[in-house]
Formats: sequence, C-alpha cells, structure tokens
Amino acid sequence: MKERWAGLRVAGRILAALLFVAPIGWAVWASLQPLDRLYHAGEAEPPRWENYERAVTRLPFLRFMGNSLLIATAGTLGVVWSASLAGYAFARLRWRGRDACFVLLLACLVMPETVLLVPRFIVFRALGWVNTYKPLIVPAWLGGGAFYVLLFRQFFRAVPRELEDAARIDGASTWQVYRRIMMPIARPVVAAAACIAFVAHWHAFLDPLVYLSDFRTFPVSVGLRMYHALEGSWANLVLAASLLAMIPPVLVVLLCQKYLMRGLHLGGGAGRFGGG
Amino acid sequence: MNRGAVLPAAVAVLAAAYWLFADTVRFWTGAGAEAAAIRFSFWGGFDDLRMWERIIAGFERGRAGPRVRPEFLPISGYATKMQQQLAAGGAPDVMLYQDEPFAVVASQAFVDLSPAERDPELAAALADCYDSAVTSFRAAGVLRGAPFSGGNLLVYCNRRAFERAGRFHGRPVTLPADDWTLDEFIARCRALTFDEDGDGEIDQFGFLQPSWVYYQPLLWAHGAELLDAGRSGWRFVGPAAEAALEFYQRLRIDWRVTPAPAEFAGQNADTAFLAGRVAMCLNGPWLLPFLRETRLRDGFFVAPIPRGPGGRDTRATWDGLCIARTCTGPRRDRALEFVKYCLTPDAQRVVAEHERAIPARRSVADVWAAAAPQPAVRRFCGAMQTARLQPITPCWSAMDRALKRTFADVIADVPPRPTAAQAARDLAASPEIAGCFVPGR
Amino acid sequence: MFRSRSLTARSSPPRGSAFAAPWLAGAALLYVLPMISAGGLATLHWNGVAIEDARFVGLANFRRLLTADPAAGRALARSAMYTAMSVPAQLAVGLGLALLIRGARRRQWWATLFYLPHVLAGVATILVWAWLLNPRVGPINALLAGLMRPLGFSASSLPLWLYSADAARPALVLMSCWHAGGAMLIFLAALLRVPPAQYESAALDGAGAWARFRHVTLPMIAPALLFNVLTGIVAAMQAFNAPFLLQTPPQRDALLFVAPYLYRCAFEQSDLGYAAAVAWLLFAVLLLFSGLLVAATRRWMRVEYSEAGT
Repeated sequence: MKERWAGLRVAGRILAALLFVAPIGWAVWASLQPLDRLYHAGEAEPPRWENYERAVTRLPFLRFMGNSLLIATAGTLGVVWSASLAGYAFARLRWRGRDACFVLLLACLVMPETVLLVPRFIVFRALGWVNTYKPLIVPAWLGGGAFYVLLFRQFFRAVPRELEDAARIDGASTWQVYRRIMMPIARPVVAAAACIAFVAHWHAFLDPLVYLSDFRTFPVSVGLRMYHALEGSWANLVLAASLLAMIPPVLVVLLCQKYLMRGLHLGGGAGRFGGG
Repeated sequence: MNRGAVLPAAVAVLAAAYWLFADTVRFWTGAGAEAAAIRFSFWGGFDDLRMWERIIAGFERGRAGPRVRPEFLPISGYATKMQQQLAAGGAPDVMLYQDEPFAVVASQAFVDLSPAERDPELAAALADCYDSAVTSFRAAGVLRGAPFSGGNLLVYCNRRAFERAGRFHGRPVTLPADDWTLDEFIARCRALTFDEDGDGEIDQFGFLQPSWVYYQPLLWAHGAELLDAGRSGWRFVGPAAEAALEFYQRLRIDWRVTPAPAEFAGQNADTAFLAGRVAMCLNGPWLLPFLRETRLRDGFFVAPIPRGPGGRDTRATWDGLCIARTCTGPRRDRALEFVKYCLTPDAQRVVAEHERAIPARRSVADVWAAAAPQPAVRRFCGAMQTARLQPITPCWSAMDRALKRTFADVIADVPPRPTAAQAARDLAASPEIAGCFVPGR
Repeated sequence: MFRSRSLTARSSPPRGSAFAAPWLAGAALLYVLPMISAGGLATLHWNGVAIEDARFVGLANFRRLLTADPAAGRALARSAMYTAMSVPAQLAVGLGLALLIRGARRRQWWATLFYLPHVLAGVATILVWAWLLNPRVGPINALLAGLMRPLGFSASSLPLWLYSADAARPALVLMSCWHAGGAMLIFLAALLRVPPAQYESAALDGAGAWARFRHVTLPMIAPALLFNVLTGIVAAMQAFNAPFLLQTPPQRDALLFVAPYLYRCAFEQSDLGYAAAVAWLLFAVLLLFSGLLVAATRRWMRVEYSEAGT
C-alpha cells in the first residue's frame, strides 16, 4: 500500500517537474527556429544559433545586462551592509526608542508598495534623482526594506550570547563584535539575503520604468520591454534575449541554493524532523 | 577611532555626499552642462535609431558648433508625449513629426520656415522634394516643417501563398498585372482563400482587413472622398461612399476573404503576411526590411492599388522636422542648420540605405530605386509621384475616432450590423463629424 | 585581541541607534515622508512638473474617484477577480508540490527545481509566457488542440488567452501557478515541522489519508497558510508587471488592474493628485481586507490548534 503511494508520488514529482521545465524547454526550441517556422508546422530545422547573436546585437543587450548587473550588485551590497547593521541593532543592542522603531519596522513590512509609488516619485524628484540610478540603489543602502532587517534580526537573536560576552570581556567595541563575531557566523543568512536581494534588484521593473528615460541606462527588464514593443514580431529573437536575461538570477540562486534553503527553514527549530 | 582611518573615511563620506547631492543641486539651480546642445527627438525602432545616429554624426563632422543630442522615444504615444511637452514647456528644439499630428499643433508650436525658404540651398532641396511632401508641412500656407521621409501603400502579394492556392485549385493563381481592377482584386482574394485540410477552419485568407486609414486608397478607388478640396466639407455621403463602405463590409462578411479577430489572434500584420496566412495585404515600404531578414526574402511581389471608378491613387504619408518656437537665438540657427543638413543628398541617402522609408528628395529616391535589387522599391518610389495626401485637418483625431467606430461597426461579428448606407448616414450625423465639418451635398 | 584602539577609552554604552541609523534614515525617507505627503498629494491637482502649477482642490479627487470615475472601480474589481482566482490556485499548487516532495530523498533539489520559476519572475518570464500562450504559435493551444480534436471540439473553441477579454485573466492565473515555488517553500517548512508521531497516532486511531490531512496537517500549517494567503492577496492586488506588459487591444482593458491604472493616471495622464487618491483607495481596501481576514481566522485557528492538541 505504502509502496503504491510512494510510486505514485515519484511519478507525480517527475510529471510536475516536466510541466515546470516545459515552458523553458519550448522557449529554447523556439529561440533557435527561423521566424516563419513558428507559424507553420513543418520538418525539423537545424538550430539557428545566430538568432542569439542577432538578438544581442539588434538591441544594446549587453549594455542592458551590464546596467542590470551594476544595479543588482550595488543594491545587494547595500542590502547586506545596512540590513545586517540594523538587524544587529534590533537583536542585541539596547537603545532609546528601539521598541517604537520595531513597530515602525513591522509597519514598513506590511505597507503596500504601490501606495508609496507616487509620493516616493515626488520625493526623488525633489532630490533631483529622476533619470539616475539613485532611486534604485540608495534605498538598498538605507536598510533595504524591512524583510531583510527582520531576517538578520531573527538570526542574530538566535546566536548564543556567550560568544558576544566573551568578546566584550576581551575589550571589543560593539563595532568589532559586529564585524569579527556576528558577521562571520551570519554567512548563511548573508548568502540568503544577498541572493534574494540580487534577484529582486535584477527583476525590478516598475521603478526603472518610472525613473529612467534615456534608453541607454535601461536595465534588462525595461530593455526587454522596449524590444518587445518595437520588434515583438520577432518571437524567436525576443525569446532568445529573454532566456539570456534569465541566466544571471538562476546562476545566483544555484550558487546560494544551500544557504537559501537553510535560511528559509531557520527560525523556530525547523528541520528537526527530517530537516533539509 | 583609529586615527589612520579618519582620512579615507572622510574622503569616502565626501565622495558619497557628492554622488548623492550633486544632482540635487543641479536640479534646483537649473544648471545644465549641455545647455547649448540642440535637443532632437524622434521615434522609431532600432533601425531608425541607427539611421539617426549616422545622420547626426554626419552633421557634426566638419561643422563646428553645439552638438545635437538625440532623444530617442521608442515607446508608443510619441505624439501625445510631444504635445504634453509642448504644453508644459520644455519641448525639444527639433522634433520629428508625422503629418497627421502636425496639423493640430503646427501654427502654435513650430517656427515659420518661410524666411529659411529663401536660402538657395534649402529652396533647391525643397524643389527637389515630392510635391505631396512639401504640402504636408504647410499649415495655412506657411511652411512650418521640412519634409524628411515618407511612405505610401501598395498591395503586397506572398508568392508562396499564391502557389499554395494554385495547388489547391489545380490551376495557377496569377500575380496581379499593373492595371488590375477591383473585380480582379476580388477574384484573386476569393481564389486565395481556402480551407486546405477540410477541417472547417480556413487555412489561408486572401487579404487582411485594413484599418480605415490604410483603406483610403481603395476608398478613393471607388470614387469616394472624405472631405472636399478645401478640407472643410464632409463628402463621405452618397453612392460612392456607400459603395466603398459596402466593399469593406463584403470583404469580411460576404466573401470572408479576411480573417476575423478570433481567426487572427496572436499575429500581427507582419507575421500574418510572412507566414502566408494572408496572401495579400496593404502595407508600406517599412515592411521591406522586415521581410528581407526572414526567409521570405524575395518571395513576395508588390502590386499597385487596383483600379476602380475613382482611379488607383495610393495614399502618401510624410514625416518632417519641425523647430519648436521655444528654440530661439543662436540655438535656432544651429537647429536650422541641422534641419537643412537632413535635406542634403548625403543625409537623404542614409534614409534610402535603411530602406524603411522613401527619402523626401526625388533625385535621391530615383537613384535608390534604380539601383535597388528589390523591384518593390521601384514601385514604391514610382507610386509616390502620383500619391495623394490624406485629408488632414486639426480635427483629425475626432474624425479618426468616428471613422474607426463606423468601420468597426460595419464588420461587427454580431448583429445588429448596419448596412453601408445606414453607416454612412450615421457617420455624417455623428457629433464628431457634424461638429467639425460642414455637411456635404 | 580586541584591545580598544583608542588610548582614551571612551566607555560609552554601545550606540545602537548608530547601527540602526541607515535603516532609520531609509524608513523616514521612503516610508514616513511619502505617507505624510501622500495625504497632501491627494488633495492637489498637479502634473508633477513645477510645484507652482499645483492647485489645491480639497476632496475633489476623492469625490471624482468614488462617484464620477467608473474606470477606477472597474480596475479595482478586475484586480479583485484576479486575486480571487490566482491566490487559491497558487496556494493549491504550492501546497500540492510541498506535499509531493515532502518525503523525497533529494528534497532540496526538488525544492530548488520548483523554486527556480519563482526566482525567474521578471519581464523575461512574462514575455516567454506571452509566447507560450499565443493562440497561433504557443504550445499550450497546440497541446489543447491535440487533446480536444479527437473529442470533437473544433479549433475555434480554443481560448484566445491574451487576445480575448474573457481568457486574459485566466491566462495570468496560469502564469502565476508556475510561480508557486515561493509558497511551496513556506508550506514545506511548515510541513517539516509536523512531528511524525502525530501522524502515527492518527493512523492508529483509524484515520484515513484525507482525515489525517484535515486534522493533523492542516492545523499545523494553518499559520503558514494564513501567511501565504495574506501575502498572496496583497501581492496579487498590486500586480503590475504582467498586466502592464501583456495588454493587447482585443482584451478591451481586461488587464487594466489597479496598479497599471495608477501608473496610467500618474505617469501617462500626468494627474498625480488623482493617482494618489487611487492609491489611498487601494490602501484602504487592502487594510480592510487584511484586518477582516486576520480577525475571522483568529477564531478558526484557535479552534484548530486546540483540536490538534487533543
């Protein structure tokens, strides 16, 4: 009885996996076809690798990817730096107004971003930052958003106090405790946060759409939209460009996969029962 | 804090402060590094971008002075955006403008180019342009824009689709002759529409239902007119107008030679013609670069508009360069210099090389047509000699709305569907038309 | 090792506020300040260009929003319909996947595989799905046609997905199911916290698979479920990328949800004050709904917990 269930489960998993991979598989096939082949069923064609070259040269694709990389990297560094600082402050340090700020933190977490879109635009316009990357990068350096701060806070609270106390007895200042003790231990959370932040910044679409008007500064998300709007007839080329744009986030996730899984199971002693 | 760390930290802080707030200061004090550069905005695709980059590079080479800064607006809604900028102030100095929205804003927004017309070089260039090109950019008789490039509409025929129809019927479907009539057009449409595998779904259609704007050549072929010669009286009434509307209706409803929206979903005009789903379509020279990059390459044929009681004139549309009134002083001179450059043979040849549009200067177009391996180019340039302009007035968008509605109603999937006569009457009585034009006949 | 470097050891207490200062500045600049100005913004009529042009119009924007603008109400309704369809679908798929891979040997790899589409949720994926759902070119309709033709359905009864007003939202729901990996991870973490002893005792009591699911699994994952429902609703109501990119004329605005409508008001029609009013409406709706949901489920969760405890 159990074996039948188990067999069904394995079959189910494989079927689900095929269903989930199929879209990408089709996109890869379609990106290697000549355009008219997509509209006629016909004999199999040899793959046209030059589609990728054309997709990359018709639009300034490498430039878009470079812009995205710049924004995502700068954003990730900012998130890791400022969220870990704030997380540590909330977790371990005592300061005046900490509890009130924690309530503010929770409020920021649940605040819907769409509601803040237009007022933030006004604020950034008043700062003269429209048409630059600053509205996309500076928020990452100013805490990065409540999610990451909470992630770090949760982790730091679980660190045994003995380590900290030992360091303090040795005369370490708070900054040194943070830098020499806390951050090295927090490597898994840093990896998880960096991964999530990188992917989030890579996929940012609405903010660059609102703040950037010179097409040369577009990240790959807005660049792909421009490509789709201008030359959307070229299904194979648009798909080729889209697939290329998907590679960096996938690479980052595969690299940090271990930490991501661990980081998301952290909190509450998860993983005790057959943990990952 | 460690004394040795103070200096690098201070430098870092200062650098960060500069990066963060330099733009803020610039924004509030209005200082601009490139205040002298001429802002030039245009729309289009990546090909147009490359074309303009070449032209601007050619202009700046050997012409000392402020640079031209291109502002490429690839997203749709260009005319609206330009209008917003003209209204709010802060419009670019030179703008590429299409003849349709030009009429609305020309008199208030653009510089009168008549003084510049006296310049022998510009006068010669304008004389070399197609007549319809120069006329497009006269508002109330005053020249307010310099024509740059344009196009017209002819009937594209997909050779493979014709062959496929020939195989289906067992006898060949011939490509159109130069002097083909509307009846021959219909006969071909019907021959080219068939259900190959008998599953009840039509596999190939003869034609693509054009929008009313693209339908104008066929409308004129029926002898119908939208406006009178003075462009103030509504003339789309009477037997010719009803015949034109009825023809439009019969294409979809009676003869079923054009795909309905449900049969067409997922494609656009370009890919439907490329794939041979529609054997013929009305389109302009801008389709040529697209087709050349596909495997269809030379597998198509361009035929003139079929002849009808009203003739077989095609419709011309032109894009031109306009200088905003807000551009004054020495910057206006520089802008004018740029506009004049765009009408020189060098710049016009770049237009020809990119093959998306016909250069405004006839001499350049003729040379291009003669040298082009693609016979379609010759046909487009040849048709431009006799092409007619659309009846563009400041009321264009209201007229467009009303006509769109009428033409959609006439081929509606679901009843009640008006007859052609009814539709023409309703159109003439609609608020947009009645409000803009004097009722005709 | 950690000798204080400064010779004059200032033994002031650790300045937590200094550590939290970047975040605090960010919260003030990006949350507090905008919220405050959002209130004022909704009372202005302004195109965002020059502050001198802003006109104070009091509650006119709100009045227009609530009485004279059916488009806003329709946008909200469309968002609500989409949310009502996509959240249950996504959670069902997420829970299903989590249950499927819970006992797998290489669980981490399965989890990563199903999580990757969630990670890929960007413009590129949306464009890929646009072509997947294309009635002419896409494999989805090709597959459906292959399945339906033997059953006697003709090709014209295939949905036109993004090219029809009726099938556009279901198309988006289908796409969102592909992104169920995030919900799956949350469910998986919760499922792994269920002690196997509970299952065994329930099985000993004679409970079948479904009863086990209802009385053991469901109560234990109830907090995760609630979390996913809330975040799912908030995210779905604010969906922007997909409806914005996948608009086509044949849809007749079926994908004009609240966020694209807000974007249109603010940045295409340049009416910032009105856009701020629309944002307030959205905020009120979300707040109301979240509050109702939490209040309603609090009782249910308490009951379930006590049931699971016995």
